[in-house]
Parts: sequence; structure tokens; C-alpha cells
Amino acid sequence: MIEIQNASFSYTEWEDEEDTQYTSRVLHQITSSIKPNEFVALLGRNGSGKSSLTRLLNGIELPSEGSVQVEGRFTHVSQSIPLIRRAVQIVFQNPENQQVGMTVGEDIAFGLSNIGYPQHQIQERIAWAIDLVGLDADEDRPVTHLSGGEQQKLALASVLALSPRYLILDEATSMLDPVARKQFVRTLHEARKRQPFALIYITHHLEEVLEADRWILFRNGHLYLDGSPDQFLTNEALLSECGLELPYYHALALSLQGKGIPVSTSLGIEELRELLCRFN
Amino acid sequence: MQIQLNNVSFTYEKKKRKTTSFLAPPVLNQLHITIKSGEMLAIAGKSGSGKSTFLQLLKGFLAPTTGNVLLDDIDPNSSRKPELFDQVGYIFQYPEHQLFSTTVFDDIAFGLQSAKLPKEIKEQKVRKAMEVVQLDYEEFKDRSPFELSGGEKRRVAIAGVVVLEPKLLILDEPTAGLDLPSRTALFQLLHQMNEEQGLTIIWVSHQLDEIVNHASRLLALKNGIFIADGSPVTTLSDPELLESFGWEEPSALVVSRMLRQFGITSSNGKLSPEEAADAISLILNQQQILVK
Repeated sequence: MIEIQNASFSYTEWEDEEDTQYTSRVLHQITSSIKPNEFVALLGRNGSGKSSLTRLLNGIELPSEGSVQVEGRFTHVSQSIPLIRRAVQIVFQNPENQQVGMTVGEDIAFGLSNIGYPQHQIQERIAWAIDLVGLDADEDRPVTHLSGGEQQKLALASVLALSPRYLILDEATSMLDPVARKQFVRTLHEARKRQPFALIYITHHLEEVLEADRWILFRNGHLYLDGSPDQFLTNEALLSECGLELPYYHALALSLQGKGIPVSTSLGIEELRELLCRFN
Repeated sequence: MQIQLNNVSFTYEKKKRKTTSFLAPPVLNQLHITIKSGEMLAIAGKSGSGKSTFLQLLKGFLAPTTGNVLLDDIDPNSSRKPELFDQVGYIFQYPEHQLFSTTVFDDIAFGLQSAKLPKEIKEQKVRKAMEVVQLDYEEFKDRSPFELSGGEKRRVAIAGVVVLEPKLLILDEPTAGLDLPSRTALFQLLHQMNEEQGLTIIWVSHQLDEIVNHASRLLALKNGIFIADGSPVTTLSDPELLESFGWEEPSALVVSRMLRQFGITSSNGKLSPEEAADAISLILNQQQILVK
């Protein structure tokens, strides 16, 4: 369990000439929790506080006020940091910024050596991780020979090798083409079946998080709303306030329902066809 | 600006005189197209399909291995007029990562440095560029680019290219990482520059919805060849093309086509969810068979 209690976060900047200090507060008194194996989407505009919050979760940053606990350990207790960092892993937007090794194997081995994984088991673990994400490459493949989608799968393999309890994806699909994006999301959910972990997913695209257990909406550094996707999918005005757009079929279903036409909220092309056939 | 590619091929491996004629497989293979002045052209394709190489040829970062590139009927490479490439503005992916000055003004004016313009002219140009990208001059000129929001930073970066008054603007995935309001604002901006200043705009996109909504023409690139070239609505409903890219047809096109098949709409374009719902409810009401 991750527990966030009244956490605020401010950046402090010094203005050299005047020797004065400015603080800009990017998170305001966030209280929330994330349960083991939960799938939570963090949504909101650029700069609304989503990424800042995730940086508090694994202790990259510490809250200026309030606290964050991961499995009962406070992030401000420095002895806890190695364990917390191991439990909470992040995959970022640009795969190229996350590579540390020359080859697929080296890249995965780096994190493992860092946490003191038994040397003689590393080889086996690399093979396991490559298989887990379905990366079609052996461990000697240079990372520069991978496509964007494969690189992002490698980033995923490298963190999953460390058996995280919580995985944060910070717009991890935004640089991928539609095919690679779909494959990446599929891989992710299959990996979760084999090795369960909580998923904390930041995106601007709602269609990627329709399956989530919870959506958390951020606005101007505040946790604005927290609820099930179904609660929000019927409220177009609220979503647009947070800079989000309903997927096409959901918007169509809402519009039709608004005109008294009986369709389900999870309207798809088949249901639409049936509706039209019935009346034609 | 009109761009013409005549049988352009490109390979990264140079042919050596004495070895047997071994050439690496071309990254671009015999491209032959014309892009007219004032087009809004989207380019799509997987990573490694040759998109970036193609764009770099238009900016003169690379020269074709065979064939030629004409900008307004002149080949800058063979006629030794590389300055023609200055009319091409190139905006890289995540351009805000390249901001470096302490003020927005200095960042935008950086490209004007070598022109040694009088101060007033320089100010005028920066003012105009900021107007184009909709950043208030007085409010923003002295601020640090680093304290702006993601969408604002990107607009500063674009202003830094627009200030050079290009005739063609190339953008590599301009909306990656932007939220919906910033994406919408960016496209309003591109359409405005396109319509008011006649700027030709070419951009790379992975978002098929974005292409359907904003492009007048789509070039789909695969293994160095354009395998589709035409209106986005037509090309992105072509099952064969979708299949070959592994793309899923945008929902707006699927629904619009189904409504056409049922005779519910005669529109050949794509319908927004609201337009589709209107059309459906109209026809159901006419038939008065709506079960309450």
C-alpha cells in the first residue's frame, strides 16, 4: 500500500540578483492511497501535478509538507529509500533517455547488479525478463538496433526484472506509433497477469485507461476527483475541464442517450449496427 | 513554397569507386512527388520507415544520393544555392528541450543574430513572431522560458523558427506529450499560419485522429516508399492500407461509413460524435419508431 497524507510539494528558486527566494507550489495537500495490484490512472492537464506526485512516490523528491509511505516506510527516512526505490519503479516517455547498457542484456543487468541480485542468477533473470515482455531480441542485440516500441519494451523489461510492487508509467506510450502503442499496452497487461503489481498510469489518452480500477483527476496541483472510470465517462464537461476528451464511441453513446435513444455506455460498432438494422 | 522530388533515392552508405557496386538498401527509394504551396500535409509511418530522412532532404541536412529536390523549381544542391534551404523552418521533436536563453525574447531572436539587424527591426520581427504563436509580447518577452508551461514553451520554440519567416514549416511530431487543450491550440495556430500566410506545413504524426482532423493530404511511408498519397479520409478507410500498417481505422471514419451505408448521411467526410448522433436521431424520429 502507498499512503499519501496531506502531501504538498514546492519548488524553490533563488533569484540571484535580488537574493530573494521564490517558491512555486505544484502540489497542494494531496491525500490518497494506492492498494497493491490496483490499476490507477492519473489524469489532468500538463503541469497539473501528475508527474510531480509520482516523483514523491519513490522518494526522488520529498514532500515539503505531509508524508508519503510505501508499505509502511516513510520516504523521508533515508534508510528506507533503497527499499522504496526498488518497490516503486518508473518508465518514462522517452526510451532513449532510460537506457544504460550497450546491449539488451547489459541494460537489464544494470538494475539487477545495483540491487545486489545474485551474480549467478542474473543471466537467467535477463532471459526471464525478455520473455516476460515478449521482446523479440536476444540479450546481445545492441540497444541502438531496436525500434522505438522495442526500446520501450526493453525499458519495461529492465524495471520488471526488479520485481516492483508498483509501476509508474509516465506517458510511456506517447512516443510510440499506434501499432507499437497497442502492443506495449497488451504486453503490460499480460506481464501483470504473470507477475502482479500495481499500475500507476499517466496519460492524455482515455482509451488506454478504460480498464483502470480508478481514475484520479488533477487540476492546478490539487487532487480534484477520484472515482471509477464509469463515474467520469458520463460527464463530458468535467473531463474537458481537466483537458480530457472522451473516446469517440463514448461521446457518441452520450449524445445518443441525450436524445433518448437507448444505447449502452459501452457502445461499439456492433451495437450501432444492430440499432440501425432494427429500425431500417 | 512548392516542393518537387524527382526520383529521389537516398542511402547512408556511399558507393566506393573501386569496390564492386555494393550499396546498402536505400532508406528512400525513387520518390517522385510534388507538394504544392499552401498544403497541410501529414506524414505517417513506423519508426525506421524513412520519415526523418525524407524531411531532412527538404531542409538540406542531407542531399539525395540520386535524383533531385526542387524548392520553387530550383535545386539548391546542384545550383549551389544552399541559402534556399533557409526558407524551410524545421521544428524538431520536443523543441522546448532546445530552449537555452534566459529570456523568451533572446531565445526567439537567436536565429536573427547573424543577420545583424538594427535593434528596432529585430524587435519588430520578434514581436510579430510572438503574435503569430499567440504569446503576448509584453507579458512574456522578459520571462525565462523555463518557467513556462509545456504548451507555452513549445510555442516559444516555434516562434524561434517562425521569426525567420520560412515559407515551409516542417514539424516532427509536434503534439507528442501535449495535453488536449495545448494540442487544439497548436493546430489552431498551424491552420492560421497556413491560411493567413500561405505557409506550407508538413508534419509527422502517429495519431490517426489528428491526421483526419487536420491534414489536407496524407503521405504514408513504408520502407522508403510512399504507399499512400491522398485525402486522409479516403486513405485511412482503405482496408488494404490499414492492414499493411497494422493501423486501426479511426472510429470517426468507421461510424461515418456505416451511416452512409444505411443512407443516414450523404456526407463523404467524417462526422463528429455529435453530428453522427444528430443524423441517427433524425432518421429514427422520421420513422417514428422510437420505443420510449
